Amino acid sequence: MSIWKNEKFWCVVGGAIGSAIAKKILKAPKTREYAVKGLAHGMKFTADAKATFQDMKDEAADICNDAKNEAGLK
Amino acid sequence: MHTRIVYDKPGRIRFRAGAYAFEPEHEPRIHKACVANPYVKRAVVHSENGGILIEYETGSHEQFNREQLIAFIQKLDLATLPEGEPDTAYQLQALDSRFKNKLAFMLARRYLFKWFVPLPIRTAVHIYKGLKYVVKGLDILSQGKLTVEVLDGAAIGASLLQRNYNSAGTIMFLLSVSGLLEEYTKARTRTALTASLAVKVDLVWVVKDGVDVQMHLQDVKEGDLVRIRSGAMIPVDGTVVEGDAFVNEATMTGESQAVHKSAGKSVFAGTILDEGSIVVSVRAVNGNTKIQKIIELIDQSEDLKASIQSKAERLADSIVPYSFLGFGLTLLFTRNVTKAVSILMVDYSCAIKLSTPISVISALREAADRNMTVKGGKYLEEFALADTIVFDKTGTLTKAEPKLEKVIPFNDRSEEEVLRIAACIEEHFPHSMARAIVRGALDRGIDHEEEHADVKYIVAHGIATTLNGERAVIGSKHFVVEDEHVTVSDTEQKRIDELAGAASVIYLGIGGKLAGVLCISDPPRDEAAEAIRMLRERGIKHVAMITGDSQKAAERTAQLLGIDIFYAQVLPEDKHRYVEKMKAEGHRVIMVGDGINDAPALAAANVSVALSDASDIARETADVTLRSEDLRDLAELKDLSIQLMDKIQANYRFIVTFNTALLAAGFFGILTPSTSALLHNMSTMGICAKSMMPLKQHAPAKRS
Repeated sequence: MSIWKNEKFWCVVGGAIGSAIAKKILKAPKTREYAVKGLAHGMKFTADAKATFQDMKDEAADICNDAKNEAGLK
Repeated sequence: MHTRIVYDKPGRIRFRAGAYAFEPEHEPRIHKACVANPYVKRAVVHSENGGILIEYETGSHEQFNREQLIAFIQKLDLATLPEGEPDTAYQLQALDSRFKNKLAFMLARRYLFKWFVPLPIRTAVHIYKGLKYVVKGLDILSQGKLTVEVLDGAAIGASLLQRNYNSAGTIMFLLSVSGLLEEYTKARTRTALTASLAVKVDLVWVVKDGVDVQMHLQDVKEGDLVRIRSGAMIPVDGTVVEGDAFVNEATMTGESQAVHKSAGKSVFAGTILDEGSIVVSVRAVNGNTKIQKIIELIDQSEDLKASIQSKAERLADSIVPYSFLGFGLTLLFTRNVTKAVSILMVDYSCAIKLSTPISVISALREAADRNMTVKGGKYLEEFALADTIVFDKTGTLTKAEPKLEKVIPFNDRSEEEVLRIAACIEEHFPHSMARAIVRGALDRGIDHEEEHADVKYIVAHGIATTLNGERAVIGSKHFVVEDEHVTVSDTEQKRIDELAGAASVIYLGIGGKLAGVLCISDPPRDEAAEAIRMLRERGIKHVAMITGDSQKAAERTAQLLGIDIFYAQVLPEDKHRYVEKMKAEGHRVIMVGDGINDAPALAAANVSVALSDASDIARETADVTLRSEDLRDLAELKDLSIQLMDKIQANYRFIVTFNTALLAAGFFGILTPSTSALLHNMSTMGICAKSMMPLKQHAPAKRS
């Protein structure tokens, strides 16, 4: 049976080509640029989420404070 | 700083600068700058959204305060923020906020993981995490120990083997939440204690151009020369340049034997000068050394744990084999693995082991919040069990500020001369009687320049020095007449007895002759009688008083206060014998004292208490330090300690009843292992949360 007709052979070749391309892509400056941008977006998203969450907590605390004042607890 | 006001009501204003306005490390410094303003009551700072909440004084200056605050925040510059350690209020806020965030994060992670992560990945993660517990359990088991960790590992391992991954996940999640809760309580207590233990040595004697000048510690700089005498805490790190002394470095080294220090040797802040006098060249002013030591002591020392706490921990571990036995027996009788695993899921040990130390630590924190510093759980337990209380009289039962009533001169000396000399010698020593004499001289407008040579303090007896070439001694009759052989004729003694009445008498002898006596009246503290009554109501059966004073003075005070046992004219070195005698009779004794001379008696008692105005050595020796001067705090501490013991016992009862019910339900197949695990861990967390609750629901009523 010819090696060219062997499915496993083509899998190995495909895998080797795939990993070579993947390596190229990973090492490409553009990839790095996108990765850095992605991470920065992620970090900013986390910081923004924290800020929004803190805003909400602050506002809730203020509402509680007003309620306590109205109830004459303070 | 560019901010906008997002909330503005009387007494409360919130500024917001937005995310990235400042970093988390700026938070404590901004907080410090805010609370430094006199009209600011509270500040909360969050770097996440650049938020600054300020609560300020209202009233007639409200508008002014608000405007000042707005101007202050506008001018706030990150480059010029104050440096230094964050204050306690900020540290507590940061701890609370970190705990809440961590708990929210854990809950969010758990449910996001449960809802969105595909089952195969979830299973893999559960197996990976569960194996860690199993490995830890096996590791401990291989050391021949059978602890709660082994039980946790076995329960998780059994769930994994049964392919009950959700149940394993629930157990692991609940264990991590319990761990977080424990860590938070400990950290919060430690911070609150650090603040409450900050015992400050405010005034020190600095040698300037050969003259001793009294200065505030904060004004002392590197290179200054500080004079330290017997009984005082060394307030600085430095090198001895003059004199020699024995220094007790137990707070630093744990070694109770005093160390001899002479020129060239180093001394450290927080250690106590037992005997002698030295001049120290300041290397560093370090007020925190002592506090840090005590905190570490409370944290680490097994000896300081309440015996009920140690018992709980031992009990928790000793129950573990029975859980395994129950597992084996259930398997044997029912042949049902699920039922057997239910037994393994429930145990008494986790809850007991977690809730007891949390209860003790919370009580310590509560005591600290109420101005009482307890140096370990053991002492709270002793306080609860005590049936006898022994008070030192002077400075403890009596007012902290005894008054100079009379000066009786002898041998052709004038009243003024006797008082001037006495004040001059006494001013170097931190005892209430000494302070009365110094204050008496001050009130009468008598100036006293240093005329004497170096003064020597003879522990609890008196002081000796040389004055114009003659030996001058001041102190109790025993010291001046019997030890120092100062002659007192019968006529002189008769006159003293007539004039002194029930007052305490301090003798001053110069050159072997009696120069005069100083009569000091020492009225009881206003609240002393009430405090004693309150203590009796709380289970104290015997109230005793020990004093070096005359029989007459002691009897009068005992009558006034309703004290049933009193020992008068007790020599300082004998005070502890009375305490030991009571202990030998089977009593559990609380000793309350204030002076250097009380230190041995304080050490001899089951638990000892020093008041806020006590000498450094008494505060150092005592197991409990009150930061107020109110004796009723003793009754409050008794309440707190009794409530702690009750709470621990109630926790025991609940844990045993609830978990036995779960075991029975598991055995009869009423509950599945995962429900058992959930209920068991929920109850453990509940009991831990309950243990954190304050023992006393209401703040003490304000006292007049």
